[in-house]
Amino acid sequence: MGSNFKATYHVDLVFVIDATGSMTDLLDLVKTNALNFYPDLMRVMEEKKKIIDALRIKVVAFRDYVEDREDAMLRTNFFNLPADDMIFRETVNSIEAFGGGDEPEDGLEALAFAIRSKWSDGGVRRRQIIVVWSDASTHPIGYARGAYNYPKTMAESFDELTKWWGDKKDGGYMEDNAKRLIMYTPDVPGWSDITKTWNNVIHFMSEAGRGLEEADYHQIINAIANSI
Amino acid sequence: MAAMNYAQQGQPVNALPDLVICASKERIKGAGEDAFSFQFSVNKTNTGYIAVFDGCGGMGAQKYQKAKNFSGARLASNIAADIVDRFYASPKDGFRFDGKDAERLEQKLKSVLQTVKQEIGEHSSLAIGGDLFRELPTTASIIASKPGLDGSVFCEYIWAGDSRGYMLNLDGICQITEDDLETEEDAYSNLQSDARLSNVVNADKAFTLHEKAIKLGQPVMLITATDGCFGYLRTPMHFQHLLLNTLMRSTTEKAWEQNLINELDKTAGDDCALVIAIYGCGSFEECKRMFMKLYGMHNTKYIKPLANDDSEENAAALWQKFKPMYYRENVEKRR
Repeated sequence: MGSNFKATYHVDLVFVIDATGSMTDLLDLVKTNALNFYPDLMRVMEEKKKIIDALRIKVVAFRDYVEDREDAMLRTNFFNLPADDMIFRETVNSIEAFGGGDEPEDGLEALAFAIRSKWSDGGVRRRQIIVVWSDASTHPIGYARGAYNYPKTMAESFDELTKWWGDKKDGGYMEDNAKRLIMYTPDVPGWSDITKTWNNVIHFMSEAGRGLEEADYHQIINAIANSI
Repeated sequence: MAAMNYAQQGQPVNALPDLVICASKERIKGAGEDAFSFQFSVNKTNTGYIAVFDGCGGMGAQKYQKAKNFSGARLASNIAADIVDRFYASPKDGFRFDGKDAERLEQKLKSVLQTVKQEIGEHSSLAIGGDLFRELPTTASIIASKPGLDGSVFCEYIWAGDSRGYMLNLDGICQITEDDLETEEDAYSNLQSDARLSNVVNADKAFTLHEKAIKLGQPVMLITATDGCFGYLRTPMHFQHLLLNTLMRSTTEKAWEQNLINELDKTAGDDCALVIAIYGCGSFEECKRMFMKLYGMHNTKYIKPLANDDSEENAAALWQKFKPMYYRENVEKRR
């Protein structure tokens, strides 16, 4: 047919996981889903005869800077899958649910770290996908600014975080056509503000404290697979 | 889908298309999100239409328990195909070629999709929000056509989203529709950018069906295609090549359909649906003969040079050469 061209896909995923005490019942399932994500996504993509040429996953686990200090934020680099599967599994399995203090958590700071990831610029087509799992609302960004280990390069306000995300007119730290934010969180302050104002968002509105059902997980996998 | 040769069925020559060709492919059997429909009838004053629909899988991933647990995307494309089919067949509707067909069809789609949404609305346990979510989202590309007494074909291109309507005559292919994208892209740049859709048919948010009327000479191929057909090719030139190469390799209409399906299966990373209505060729053999010269010229001018040098620079330079022809019926895009 005159060309052996094949569109190549580079997909980067960042899992933003609430690891506070209230997630105790939910975290094992989130971890299982995170670990199954790669084989499940590849299986769905194979069924669709779409090939992902490079897939990387990074993890950001968050709690509360004021309450949890040095345990407030766990950040990894990107794992290249399947090559780094072992260390990716060890990292995910090491996440435990504890701390958090009051109900709002520092989820927006975790999301800020995810947005500023070193995204791949390879492949003909790219997807930069952030998936958030949380059962709680978020503090306003900067709430914990007084904590000794609060990051110095954090967005000053929700408006600045919105700029980091960007829109079709003003690009942020991610490619506007490539980025997707998939949230599995309750419809509560912080997350609901994002749903109302940011582009490229899909928000699966869980009930606080309710587990992630099998059907929900497959729906999320399908939403991601269909966006590639 | 078997091809139909209307001329051989005893219809007046040129009153209806000589050939209608359909090629569609589901990536996952039984879960395809593309749909198509077409009808032509002398009883509808020789008018007819071809149409394709691409259910938006990302936006419409939600499953509906009351509808066999189908995704919103799959339901939407099939429902839209059915609505257009009924619109054409209904004595009080139908394409009137008065500049208001898109408006009428838009109202019909809104009304039926909203009713369906209410009927099947009790979906999964999860409520879903965000700008990426739509209830029953699908693209649409419809071409209604009516031959004129002067040997022309009067066409209405009606669309929403990135499914396209083209015409292919002896000068080459021309995209008539304009993709509804969030960012400014042309047919070449969007092969990489893969920009988000800014407007799709759906049941819960506002949408627009665009309309463009155009009078075309014969012979002409009217083409509707979902993005699976053209969105995974090296350049827009390769879409014309795909159409004509498969035509030249075929000995019958059925073989052409099968060759199209085989090629799309090799290249497409998505479901795909393609419908072609051909006026002014008389027969399949004559159609091949008429387009043979264009096929050879296009091959020499664009496809072989790209096969010899597949660099981005060469592809972009050849696209710039091809672009004025590709958008020749679209003044804005030509700038």
